[in-house]
Amino acid sequence: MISFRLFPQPGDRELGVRQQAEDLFAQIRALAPVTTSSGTPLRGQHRQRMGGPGHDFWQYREFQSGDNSRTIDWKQSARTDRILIRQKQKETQLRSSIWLQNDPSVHFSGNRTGLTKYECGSVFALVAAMLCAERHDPVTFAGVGALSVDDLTHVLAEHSYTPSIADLSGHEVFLLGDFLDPLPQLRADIFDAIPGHKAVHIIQILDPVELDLPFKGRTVFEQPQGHAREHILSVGDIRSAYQDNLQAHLSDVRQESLSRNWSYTLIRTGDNYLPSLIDLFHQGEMS
Amino acid sequence: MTFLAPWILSALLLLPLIYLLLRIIPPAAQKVVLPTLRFLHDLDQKNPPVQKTPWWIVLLRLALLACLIIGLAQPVINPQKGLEGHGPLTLIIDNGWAASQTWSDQQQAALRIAEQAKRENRPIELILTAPLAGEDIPQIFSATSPDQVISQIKGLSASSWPGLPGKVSVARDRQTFWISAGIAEQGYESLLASSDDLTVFTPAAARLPLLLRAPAENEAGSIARVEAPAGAPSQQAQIRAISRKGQMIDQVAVTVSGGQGYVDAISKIDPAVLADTSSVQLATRTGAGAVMMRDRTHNNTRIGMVTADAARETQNLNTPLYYISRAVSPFSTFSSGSPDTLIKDNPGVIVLADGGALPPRTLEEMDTWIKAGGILLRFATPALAEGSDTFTPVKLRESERSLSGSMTWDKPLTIKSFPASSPFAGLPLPTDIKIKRQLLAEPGPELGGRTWVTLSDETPLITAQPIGKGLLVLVHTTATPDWSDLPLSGFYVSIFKTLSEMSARPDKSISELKLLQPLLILNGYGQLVQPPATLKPIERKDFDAARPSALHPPGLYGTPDESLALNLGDRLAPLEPLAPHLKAEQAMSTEGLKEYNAAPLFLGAALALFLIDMAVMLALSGLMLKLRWLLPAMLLFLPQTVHAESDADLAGQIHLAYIRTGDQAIDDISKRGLENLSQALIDRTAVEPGNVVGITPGQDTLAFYPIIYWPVAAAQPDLSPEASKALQAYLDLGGMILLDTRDGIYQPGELGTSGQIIKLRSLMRGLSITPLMAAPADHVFFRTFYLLNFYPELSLVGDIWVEEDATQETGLVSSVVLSGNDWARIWAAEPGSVSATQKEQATRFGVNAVMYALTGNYKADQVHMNAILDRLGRDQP
Repeated sequence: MISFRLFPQPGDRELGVRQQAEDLFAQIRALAPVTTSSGTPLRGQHRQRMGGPGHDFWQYREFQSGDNSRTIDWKQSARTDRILIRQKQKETQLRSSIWLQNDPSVHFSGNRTGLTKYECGSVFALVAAMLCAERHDPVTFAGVGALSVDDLTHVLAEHSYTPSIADLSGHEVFLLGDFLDPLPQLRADIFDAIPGHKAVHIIQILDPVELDLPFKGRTVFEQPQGHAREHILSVGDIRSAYQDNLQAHLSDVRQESLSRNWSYTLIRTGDNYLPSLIDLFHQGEMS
Repeated sequence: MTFLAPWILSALLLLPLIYLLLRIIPPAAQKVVLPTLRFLHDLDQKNPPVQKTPWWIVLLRLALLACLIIGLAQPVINPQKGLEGHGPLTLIIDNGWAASQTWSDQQQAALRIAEQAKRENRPIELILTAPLAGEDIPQIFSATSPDQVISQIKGLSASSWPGLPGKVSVARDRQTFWISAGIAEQGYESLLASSDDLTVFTPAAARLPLLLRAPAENEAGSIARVEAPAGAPSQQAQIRAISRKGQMIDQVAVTVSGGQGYVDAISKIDPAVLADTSSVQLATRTGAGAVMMRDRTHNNTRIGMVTADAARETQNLNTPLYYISRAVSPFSTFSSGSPDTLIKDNPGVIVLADGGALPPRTLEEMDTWIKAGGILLRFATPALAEGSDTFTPVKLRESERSLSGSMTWDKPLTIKSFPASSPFAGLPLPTDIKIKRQLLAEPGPELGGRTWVTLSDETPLITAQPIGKGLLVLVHTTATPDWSDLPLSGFYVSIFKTLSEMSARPDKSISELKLLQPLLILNGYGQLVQPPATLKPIERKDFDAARPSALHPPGLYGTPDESLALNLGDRLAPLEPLAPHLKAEQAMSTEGLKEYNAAPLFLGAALALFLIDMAVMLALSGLMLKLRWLLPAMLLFLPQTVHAESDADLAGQIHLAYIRTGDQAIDDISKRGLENLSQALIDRTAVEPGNVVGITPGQDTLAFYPIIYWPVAAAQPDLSPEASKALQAYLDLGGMILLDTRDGIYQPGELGTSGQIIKLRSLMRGLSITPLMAAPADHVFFRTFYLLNFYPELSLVGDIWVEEDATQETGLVSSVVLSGNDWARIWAAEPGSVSATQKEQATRFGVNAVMYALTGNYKADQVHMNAILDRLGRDQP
């Protein structure tokens, strides 16, 4: 018997987010198989300018007490009268952390069945976590710590964590959110609060409804939380003015991040996220 | 139109206020959640806000409220006049035999009064003029609430005996309503005089009861007479004679009108057949007044047959029991058993048809029994031919004579004559009987006197010898078709019939009974039912003068063997209408305009307006857009009839179809008629047709329909080439068309030259159809479901035309059936506009036509029954 599911079940959205992340990950893998070239964010095998565990040759060095005798290069040692050991270039993991905005504003979708901005961010976070897990690079989730992809999926679905800017650590930082607060407040709360000198990626996620305001006639707009409301008699009349306001804010945020030498990406929920993801995580490989 | 709760209408005064309120409340805006609300702040808005509701919404809502208020005020269209009284009222209802013919009108009138009393909140005292069975006072119920009385009235039915208005007593000053059946019954004057405030309802003149009376003594063929009370208009009455087996023997139509006295219904049927009548019924009316029962006196000659083991033999086609029981059962009670039990049982005739000689002691008892008046009928058996058994009317030669077979040159014998002394004398000579073997009698002086039937060579076939008061009869051939085909002939039955009549000895006559027990009584619907235990028997000496009453309801009295009929029509005084005896202010007719409660209409309109308003509000606030995902779900709930019948629907079930003629009236009748026919098929047969489909040949696919009804209309355009092609393909591939020229009766054997026939010829020009012939009476069409033989007076067509080569011999099925009866009109007719019999016959014709289309010549096998029996007899050794 064919059964209809007229209403969404609990867990559907979690599965949807996970599924979408898995699909995107698979697409990325299909387009860009794992390579070893350097210089792109979020890749493993970051060679340090120093000796250490690794695959590639770095230098010969005189044996010192404490070195493992197995590292001695007997051929080279025979040519000279010193005992030389073969040192390899040290390879370390790339540590990165993700911060996902979690407030009523991001739990919004203009389309009843589409993803909310938060869920869209979750997809990005999960893809990032999968890419890292593939390389055994640790990813920390600001406010939660290091997690497996499965656990991360649940934590994201529960909406229950509180992201903390102060927890951001590692070499690279990804900030996901809608960043709709006024710029001074954003600076004070987020941008200036990031500790240390890091590579920062601002990913601003907005709903198409927010960007386009596709309504007609008399409409009362309300905040997702709180009591503010705007009574608009004809949405068509004010649409362009609204869009001007919004675009001004978006360009402010963009300018701000570029001025700090951060990367900036604007995402519309419901779009194809693949180009943005590749831009973010695989710029070097795709070019 | 009046209102039952008029004070609610005062709420209409509030409408202007509501109007003002509605004007200033604008429709609600849609609400949208938007995180980017901040960017909407302080934007310039060009249009001023709408402060008023559009005028048409205000109008809609005011209409809604007006409908609601009017509906709640309970409007009644065409209201009944108030009862114009107060306090309890008395409601007298005639529920005697006459009321069963006018019952629905009376019931409606009584309900109207009770409903009115309910509105005025007045208790009702209900009185029924006819007593309960076994009592002799009218039924009087003390005053109760109208609700109770209404449910009581709905459950009432008429009885079969006269009412007793004379025994009804009412309070003189109480408002009284008498719903009469229109007949002045015994004591009506006292009831009319007993109340000062009496209103009497009588049925319309056309509905006045008719009464079936005993037939005229001196009029040959009269089966009954019909009486209509004075004032009744001229009307047709169908009178049926019903046999003991419940079959209709004859139906006679007479025209009766009020004050004419009795009108004879003369039947032209053979009096001998008519003698089998057990009751006469007035088909157009119901109730005890429309039934005349006959005394049941002669229906109990018993015939017993000596058998060794009844259970073993009944199923066998070669035993005498099989043939004798079937020959005897139509007119007599048949039993079988050992000789001793039969003699003890003392039937009129004992048959001895097989087995050997009787033991001496039994023979002695049998001899005594015959001397006391019994008739012993013996048939030849192989054992009898051995000559050891001498208990025969004449001395027999040893060994039988064989007249047909490979070793003989003789031809089988036929019956030559019935001697004058024979009880069969006067019967037509059966010529079809061939005797192949027989027992020969020794010639002797007494042989001639004892012979009842002589064969062509002067040898006896049946001999008889009186013994004491009784008879010993011998048939010189067997009771089975082994020796002759006598058992397959009608004469075989005549033998038993004649003997059973000869044996009819008044055994214990009804005249000797002192008390006559009620055996079966008529109920209010004119059906014979078991009498209630409360009924007392009638003394025999009082029976002839007895008047049917609740103490002695009309019915059959006596013993199961012999009973006398107590009929209303034999005993009642001439009918007298009640209406002329009423004062003008008292008289009312039970046929009143029905009042109509309009409250549901207005409340429904209010609901509809409310739904429209809701939809408009949703649309205005943009919510409709949000709910559009619900639309597919709503489509799921829409009835399936939204899309027209697809081919799969048509092919999945049988559908009756008619051809659209282009004349809307004819098409409507065809559709309605076929719908009724479909219902009849569902009710009576295993065929369950679906919807009726109107088709246009050439446009619609014809292959789905087993039979297509085609009323020929002058307005119909000639067939297009495509239509002709489609019809020809349909006919060639096994379809069947029932053509109806709708022009009445054809002359026997010819189609005539009416307009429709000419039209039909021009319509059929493009089709290749085998020449038609009038279907013979034994055509399989007339026996596919019902055995049809139309009664000429039904104004139904005698001739149905079928294809010439569709005969029994060819086994072909006619793909065209033509008749001119306007069948659809009769099928579609409302009850009453055509006679019930005519409608029934037409329905049967329709059922047969559909069955013919579906089963073809299947039922033609029945036609070969004679040949099968013939072969069965011939092949026996």
